[in-house]
Amino acid sequence: MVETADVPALVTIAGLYLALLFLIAWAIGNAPKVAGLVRHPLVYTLALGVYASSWSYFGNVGFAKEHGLLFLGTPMGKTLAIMLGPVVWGRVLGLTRDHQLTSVADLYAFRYRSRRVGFLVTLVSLVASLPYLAQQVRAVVDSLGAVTGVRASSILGLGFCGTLALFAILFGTRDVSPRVQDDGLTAALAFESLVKLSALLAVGVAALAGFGGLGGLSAWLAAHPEATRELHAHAQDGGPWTSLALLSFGTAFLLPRQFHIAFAEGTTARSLRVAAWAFPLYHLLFNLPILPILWAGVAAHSAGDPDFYVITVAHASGSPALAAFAFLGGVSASSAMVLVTLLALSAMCLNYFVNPVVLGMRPGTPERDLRRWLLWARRALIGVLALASWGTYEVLKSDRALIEWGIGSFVAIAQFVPGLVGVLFWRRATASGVLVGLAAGIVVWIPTSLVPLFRAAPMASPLAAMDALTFATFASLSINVLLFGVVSLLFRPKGGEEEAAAICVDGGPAKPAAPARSQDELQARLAPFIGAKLAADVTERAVEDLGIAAQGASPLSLRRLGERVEQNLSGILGPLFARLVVQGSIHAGGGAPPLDEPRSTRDSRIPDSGSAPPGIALELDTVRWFLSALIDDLPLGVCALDQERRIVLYNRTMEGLTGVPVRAAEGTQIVDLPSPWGESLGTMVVSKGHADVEITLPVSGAPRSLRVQRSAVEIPGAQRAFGVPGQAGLVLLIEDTTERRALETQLTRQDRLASIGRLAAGAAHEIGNPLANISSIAQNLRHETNLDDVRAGGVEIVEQVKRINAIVRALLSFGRSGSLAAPVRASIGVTALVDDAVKFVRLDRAAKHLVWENRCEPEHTVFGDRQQLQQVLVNVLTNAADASPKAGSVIIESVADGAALTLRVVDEGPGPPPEMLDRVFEPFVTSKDASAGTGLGLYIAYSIVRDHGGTIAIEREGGARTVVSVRLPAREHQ
Amino acid sequence: MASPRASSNDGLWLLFALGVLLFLSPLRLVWAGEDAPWYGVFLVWPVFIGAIAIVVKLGARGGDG
Repeated sequence: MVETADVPALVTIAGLYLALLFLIAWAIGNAPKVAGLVRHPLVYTLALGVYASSWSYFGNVGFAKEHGLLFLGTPMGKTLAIMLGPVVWGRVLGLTRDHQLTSVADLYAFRYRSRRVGFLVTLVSLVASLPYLAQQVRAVVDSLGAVTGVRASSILGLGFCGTLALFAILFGTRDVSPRVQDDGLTAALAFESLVKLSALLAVGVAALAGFGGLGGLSAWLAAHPEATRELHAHAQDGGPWTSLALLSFGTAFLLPRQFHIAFAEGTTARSLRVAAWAFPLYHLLFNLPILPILWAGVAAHSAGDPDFYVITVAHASGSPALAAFAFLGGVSASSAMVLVTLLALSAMCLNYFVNPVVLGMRPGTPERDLRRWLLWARRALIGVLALASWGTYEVLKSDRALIEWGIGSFVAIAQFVPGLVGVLFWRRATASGVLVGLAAGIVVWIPTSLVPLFRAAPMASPLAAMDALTFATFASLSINVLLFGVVSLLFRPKGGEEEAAAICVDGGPAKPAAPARSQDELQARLAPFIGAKLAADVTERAVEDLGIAAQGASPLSLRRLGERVEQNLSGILGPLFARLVVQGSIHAGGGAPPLDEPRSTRDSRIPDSGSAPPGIALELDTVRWFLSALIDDLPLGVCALDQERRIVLYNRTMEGLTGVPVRAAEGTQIVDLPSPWGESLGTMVVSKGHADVEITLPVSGAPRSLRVQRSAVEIPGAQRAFGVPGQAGLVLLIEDTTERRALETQLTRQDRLASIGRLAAGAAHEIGNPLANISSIAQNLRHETNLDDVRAGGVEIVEQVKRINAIVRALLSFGRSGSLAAPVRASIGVTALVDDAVKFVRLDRAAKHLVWENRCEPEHTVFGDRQQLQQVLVNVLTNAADASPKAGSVIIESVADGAALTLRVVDEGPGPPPEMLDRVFEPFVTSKDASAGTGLGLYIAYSIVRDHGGTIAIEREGGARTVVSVRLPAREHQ
Repeated sequence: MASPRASSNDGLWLLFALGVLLFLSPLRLVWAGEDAPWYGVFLVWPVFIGAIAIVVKLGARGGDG
């Protein structure tokens, strides 16, 4: 046995230890380079070790002494709760991060859209936490007594509370929002977890050493069978074990300090995954030494309180250092719990007790610095809570086991479980149900769990206390669940509750505020409610978060800005008041799904810049900008719409096509785009028809052919990945196909021409031989008859056969080379040319009844190939004859125009239909019956004239006359 | 085909069901009963934790990280 240590020395050691914590918190908080290390999942897990309070450190040994293996019920329940972190708590993490919720009260108030619910949850948390806080004060004071052998003054408890309150004020309230991650605090808590674990393990090793190792312990247990028999005595009775496990399972994250560390200190999904196994491992290590310490205490026949066997065993080991270390471990366990609970409770009390009063005053003075006021209010609350913790310690009866002071808190906090089920799983749950159920549960809890703490411990067996626990647990929870369910079913959820249920249960979209017209306007609107400085701070922070341009932002950006301001204020004022303030100054707009964000802001939602390591954030940012540039540079117009047909993505190609800037387009309804884009694309979006159409719209004043494809956007796996359902929207891809269409048309035409050429060549070859026969027979006719008419006919036949032969040769040449035969050009008198053509055309019976007038000037000539030009005239005149009414007239006249000469063929026909006018010179285009025309006449004429360097045009004159103008060179080009 | 995340989550739910059976049901009497060694719990518990770690790690490696 070592000499009894004196109180001042231990108090000094404890003071130095707390000073070391200050130093760690300060150093880490001011060393951004180690932020990545502090945010490592294992550090997060160690910080979660704040769960292991003096209950686990001291109380479990006493609990094991009285109730055997029942002490394991609590860590078993925690194991089951924490292992579900990735699949259940991840959803809570998503809600708290997206909506800046900092406590259970915030979560409930957000889901049930009720300040009363938030108030009641805060009140219950406060009342439930005070005995638990008092337990920590008692642990420190009594452990000091256990080390020194004299009962320490309770004033030391006040000093302990005051020191921790100072710590909380210095390091936990540098920003009024609890969501602002404090790496220093996290590091200090992780350090505390290591200290208390190390201390307990060291005492456990000392206990084993006292037995002479594991072999000695086994021998001692064999010699004392009652030791293990007592262990199992209560473990077989299902009640207390199940109650303890269920309580610790239900409250694993709902205790104010646990919720604060788990969700308000920049937790990530990765942290939760690591904690799923690392946190149970921490508890396993924490519980390993409990039994050896217990048996060491029993073996030493220690007369002290079993709750403090950790101290007495360390003391008995003969090492003053170990005794001091064991004491420090207790200080560490208690101080971590008190520190975080003070921070969490002060934020809750601020949001639900103080803010309603402050905001109710509606200060109306923009100069008032609300942020500073709230900071000081929170600091004052920390002080009050610390004082209340010490006060509770003073009035509670210390003859009760240490654990009893905390176990009542578990029963009270477990009353939040039914409401949490409503938050995560039951859309039908209502604020009324939660209020009635929770109030009823607490009404049962007060006489069964709270009041007994103020009475002296009964003389009954310890089992009676456990029976009381089982009764309190099941009675309070049963009535809570029953009333919660029944009342929720009796009253329909209100509008806001339905919206919040959609967000919490289904991961639906939040309803954003409608945008102001500028950041300044938003700021000016907020200032009367929260003060000019806070208004400026929250809006600037929101601008920074979203990465949007401060001025001249699009309507969508401003709407997102309002939404983000609400989120930022939520961390300061709580979600309901933030909503009140923002929506009190900005009218709520329609619902908007998560897709409803411009690219620049959407990405900010995914990585939480406050929690993601800089490396990952940088990588994500790079990928984001790369994808953004990729989308902008696509040769396709890309326009993505949300479920409300609002444009959320609009690339630069779209801007070029429509002439509407990206900034103006994003955030507007597709139908609000300028005409004709709005109506055309709007129709495309709502139509149920084919998702791939060709439309013609004006682009830069010229009609362009556009291919519009529509497809739905689904994000598979979004529910699992982000806790939100697959987000549906539409994307329109718009391709300018004008050039491609023109090329396709040209290719088709060339293909058809090639076909014609081959056909013509084949036909010409077959026609050649009969023509030769006809020609020779016609020539013979001149010698075989004396009849003048017959001889004249023979001569005419020979002439025409020559012409046919020339055409056939031309066709053959065209078929082989794709162009007509090389012309023999000369100056030709147009009068004779026209006469010959008319004569030929008049051979047709229908043309004989027409009046043909050749008004060409005799001196007018053209320069070209006679055969080809005659072909042009024949084709044009044939068309004129076919189109003219019976006894109509066809006039051919020549008009000299400098170096050119225009032949005008005027008939009295209606001409081709207007829609065909542009195409009459294309091959196979004809307005005649299929049996009457091939559509090649004007095409050949066009080709010949073009080869001569001339032009040919057709025009209708009032529907009664048609004029074909053939403009040809009058003389050889010099 | 189930996604890696789905299989990881399903694995955790299965383990949870097993944990409820082990820690909260009469099954625990097997390792915490009168005839069981006192250290039984310290054998069952770490095995269970190891199983959680494996499922979570496999899930993360499968792409949900």
